[in-house]
Amino acid sequence: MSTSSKDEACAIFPLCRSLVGGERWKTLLAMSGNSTTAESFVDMFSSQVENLGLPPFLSQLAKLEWTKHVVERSTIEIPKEATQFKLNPTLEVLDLSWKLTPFLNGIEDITCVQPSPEKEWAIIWQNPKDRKVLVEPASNEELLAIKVLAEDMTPEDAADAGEIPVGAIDRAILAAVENGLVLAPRSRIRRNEMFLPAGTPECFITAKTFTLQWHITNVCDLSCKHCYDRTKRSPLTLEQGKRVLRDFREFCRERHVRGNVCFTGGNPFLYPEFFSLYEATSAMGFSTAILGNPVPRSKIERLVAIQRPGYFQVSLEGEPSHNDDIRGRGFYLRVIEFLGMLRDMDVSSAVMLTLTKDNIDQVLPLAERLRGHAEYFTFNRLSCVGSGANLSLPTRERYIAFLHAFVDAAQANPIIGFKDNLINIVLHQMGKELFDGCTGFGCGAAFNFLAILPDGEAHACRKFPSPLGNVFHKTITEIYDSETAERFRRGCRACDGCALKAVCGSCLSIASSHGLDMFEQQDPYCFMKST
Amino acid sequence: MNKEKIRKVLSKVGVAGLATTVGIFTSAVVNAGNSCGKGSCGSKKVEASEKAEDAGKTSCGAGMKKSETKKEEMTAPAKKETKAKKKKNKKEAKSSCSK
Repeated sequence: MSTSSKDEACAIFPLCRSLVGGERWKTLLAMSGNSTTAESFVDMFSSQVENLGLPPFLSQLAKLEWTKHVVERSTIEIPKEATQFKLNPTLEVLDLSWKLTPFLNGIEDITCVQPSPEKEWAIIWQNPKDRKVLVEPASNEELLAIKVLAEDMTPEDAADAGEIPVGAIDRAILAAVENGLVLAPRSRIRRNEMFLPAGTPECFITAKTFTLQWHITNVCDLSCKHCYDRTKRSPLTLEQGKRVLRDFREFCRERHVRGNVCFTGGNPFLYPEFFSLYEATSAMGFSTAILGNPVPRSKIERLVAIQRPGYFQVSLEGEPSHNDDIRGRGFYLRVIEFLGMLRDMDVSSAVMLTLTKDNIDQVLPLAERLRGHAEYFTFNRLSCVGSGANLSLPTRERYIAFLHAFVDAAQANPIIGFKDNLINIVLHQMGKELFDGCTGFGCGAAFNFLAILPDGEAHACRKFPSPLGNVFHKTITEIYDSETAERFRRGCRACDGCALKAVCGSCLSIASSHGLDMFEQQDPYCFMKST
Repeated sequence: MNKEKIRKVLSKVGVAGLATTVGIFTSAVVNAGNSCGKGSCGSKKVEASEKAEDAGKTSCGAGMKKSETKKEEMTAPAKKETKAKKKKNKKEAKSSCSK
């Protein structure tokens, strides 16, 4: 073996060398002769384990170290995006009969701890983001994702083979994407850049998740004064619901986005088939959330047993007396108790307030009251539709002053979150970092979000009538691709040219409920141009 | 490693066996770690796994805390692109309104 190859071998097999020791290492090098390369050292270890009294796992350790070296040296191109899910081209898989990966990660010291004779699938790959090499024991979930893609199986076929929900296969593949083992196609939920300021970062153009806000029933145990919709609608059947879920999965697969289903109503728990539908949603692999009213602990336990929701959001309208006047006597206390229960059960909680002229002065006091009770608190301006037309918004001037106070209060109150797009104007004025807007992309109406009512009617936004079609009669793809939906995505033309458009776009529902042409006339509360 | 080589290495394990264990495993993961949704509206951001994409992890802790919201804040579109991109994953699944 040449001097350079000997040096190379020392660098490639540091763990093997430390185990073998100086003298036996020299012996091995001497035995290798002049023509041997570092790669051939792997075979050398295997053949000399018994002769030199080396540890029985040494040949596999050498194989693992060599493979790591190969992956480190790999210059193979890792595409930034794929046309379909595909394996990371740098990925290597080793079948080991010793648990060796902790030693390569520095978790265990090979000179102090004896590896255990356990079967281990080692995966070695370059992270596509930084090309850093990772050496990990593969979980069954990771192996499944790798196997399914290596065998060119569809998730459906794999699910059939394992007799498990297809959502479990989807999740396995998505988890592998997170780890960089699998390359994913680029999301097709993208803003039309023509209408955004030049230089808008990609992260404000492309959505990776699509949310279905699903009003599965209009039945409610409350009778709030500002309820947006008390109409009686044809009840959703479980079969219709499952069809919507299958359609949504197709939409998400075709657009390369993750699906998120946000159950609401009415009170979604009053939908007779709620748990069956929730279970079907989980089985499809969608993440879930709840917008509802307080429910008994047993219901939350049942919910969590199926799938822990990303969050459970309830509403409060101000301090106790005002809240109970809007939502019903005793409701404030019920909510506070319920938030405590959610915390006990490790379910993330959120509180939403619908802002009116009557409760604008109560927002910040309520935010203080909710410290230690809720994880997140924010507000949404009243849309004067449905029963909401009986209430009214504060004046523009009062609202602007409030927004400044809200932003200030957020500095000191960790539960305050931002939602109203116009908060970005305040942040802009203050020279502070902007937030991502109402749905993560400013106004997300018919962009990364659709609302569906119990009778299948799809709306661009639930805060005002914005019908796009019916999911019982059309596919979500057809609805999403319709001209009407495109018009909502396009947003208000009056916002064109605004530097904040990507994270704002004002609020179509406010403009609409003020009798304006929401596609031409901007949110009457916008104060960007006067700054 | 090409696909054929991986196929060969993994020929000892069957999809059915793996899928069965994954079915159980995935369910456990969802129940244990999917509580990090965030968002703001009826409006909260969800999505455990996506949020932690930058960190390469699938759990993201307390989801909706303001402190995290702050982290997600971004710069004006044309300004601090890098930071905004970095935080983007943590804010994807917001829906749009309160009920």
